[in-house]
Amino acid sequence: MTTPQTASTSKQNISSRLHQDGTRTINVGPMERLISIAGGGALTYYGLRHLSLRGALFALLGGDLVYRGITGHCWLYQVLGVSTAEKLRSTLVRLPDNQGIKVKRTVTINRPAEDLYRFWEDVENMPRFMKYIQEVSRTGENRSHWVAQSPVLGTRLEWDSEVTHSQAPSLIAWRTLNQTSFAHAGTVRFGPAPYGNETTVTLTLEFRQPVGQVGAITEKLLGYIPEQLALEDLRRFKQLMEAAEIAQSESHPSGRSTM
Amino acid sequence: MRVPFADIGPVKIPEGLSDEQVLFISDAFPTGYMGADNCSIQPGQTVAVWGAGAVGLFAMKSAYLLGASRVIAIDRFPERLRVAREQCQTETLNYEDVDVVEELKQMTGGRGPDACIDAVGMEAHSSTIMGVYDKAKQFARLETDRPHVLRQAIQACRKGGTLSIMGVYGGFIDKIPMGAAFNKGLQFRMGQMHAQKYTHMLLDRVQRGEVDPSFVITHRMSLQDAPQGYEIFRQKIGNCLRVVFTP
Repeated sequence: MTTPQTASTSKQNISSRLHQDGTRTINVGPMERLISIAGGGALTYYGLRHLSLRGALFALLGGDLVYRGITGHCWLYQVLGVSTAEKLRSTLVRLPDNQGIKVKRTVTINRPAEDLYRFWEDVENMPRFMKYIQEVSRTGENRSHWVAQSPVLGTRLEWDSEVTHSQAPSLIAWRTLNQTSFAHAGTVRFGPAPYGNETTVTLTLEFRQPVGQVGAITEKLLGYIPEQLALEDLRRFKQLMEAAEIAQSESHPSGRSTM
Repeated sequence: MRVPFADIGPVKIPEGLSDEQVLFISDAFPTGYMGADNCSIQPGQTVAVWGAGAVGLFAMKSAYLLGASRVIAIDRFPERLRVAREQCQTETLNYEDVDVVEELKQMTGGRGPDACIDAVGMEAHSSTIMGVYDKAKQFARLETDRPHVLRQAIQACRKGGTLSIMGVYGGFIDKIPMGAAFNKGLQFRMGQMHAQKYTHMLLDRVQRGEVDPSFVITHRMSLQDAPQGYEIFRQKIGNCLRVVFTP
């Protein structure tokens, strides 16, 4: 059985992955690269349609921006000693051998671990704080059926999930059973915190979907969605546990925007 | 010979201690110690220290001496971070590899360290756009110091936490997230180290074997080679932390 803890992502192997291609290191971040490619492309197109000195200069500049976006290396940044390249984050890690991504987020909640565990153990509570989960119903002792709205496309997603391991009051682990686009394995840990009755809650989600090299940048960008969602859901869980309600501060008061 | 303030300045060194063991009690050790002392550390607390040079390393040692449960060292030189791990038992973050603020939060249950010590000061290095901004303003004489560490420490520190500044600042700084500092209710403590306040207590600690400050010595040279020694120190040749000259 695959548990979410299998992929070790210690600080040591994080550092060793940097600067892998010597002098031509990547010093431009993934979002900036996409903008560079898009902006450069538009500039080249504009330049080529205007056959003049100015047009030619635009086309050259655009071409350079596209090149900068594709290679991820910017000479100006190198001269200035700047890098906007993405730093390695323990909150969003690519699994070895291109197997997918792992997201990890943590918050401290001012309630004893027992209370938090008991609430999380009842899967039917999930829609109360997980933003895109609409309905969860128990289908067996360890099994449940989940209905969600896709955070990317707004479409309806359904899957079955199974609790693979649980240890009161410190750990619950689960995994999805069928191949949906949201197939994942998850763990929530309730650990001690230094003050009073506080509990440190750590949510780990592992999405094992192999992607090709081409998809690497897109995958990194898409990875921010589960990373952000995990944090938002934990914050909503914190509010619900500490204040028994979730403050609605989003631009859509219903809390169901489609992004 | 005339010795000003001879009743306060000179200190008699107890028997049985070597010169190398007591040398750093004159400056680097009490500076790091005051950095930790400023934090009013309570048992169980986490302290983050920016800069793993001699002062930073002493701040890390002192934080443990004063009861911290966890100390996290931040630098960009892997060798200095190794010294922090091995000599001071800290966890480490290389700020060129990871987003320091995000990682510190992640390591502390989303709260941030209880106290943050700036052992870098006005000549902070940074490879971000803000780093270029500071350098450009410095070049144009619109800013004297580069407060990169200060900005990070304010952003990382937990609500109600303490910022202890031992790295030297000299003049004017820009773009300080004062709103964050104010609304988080941070305490700022800083200043030149108070040598006489700490000297005797640190001598006692060294004598009792609680700490041996000589671990920061990386180079030993004769006084004649002093110019070369300063060059080694400035360029951080051979992972230099401290050069000790003997006549």
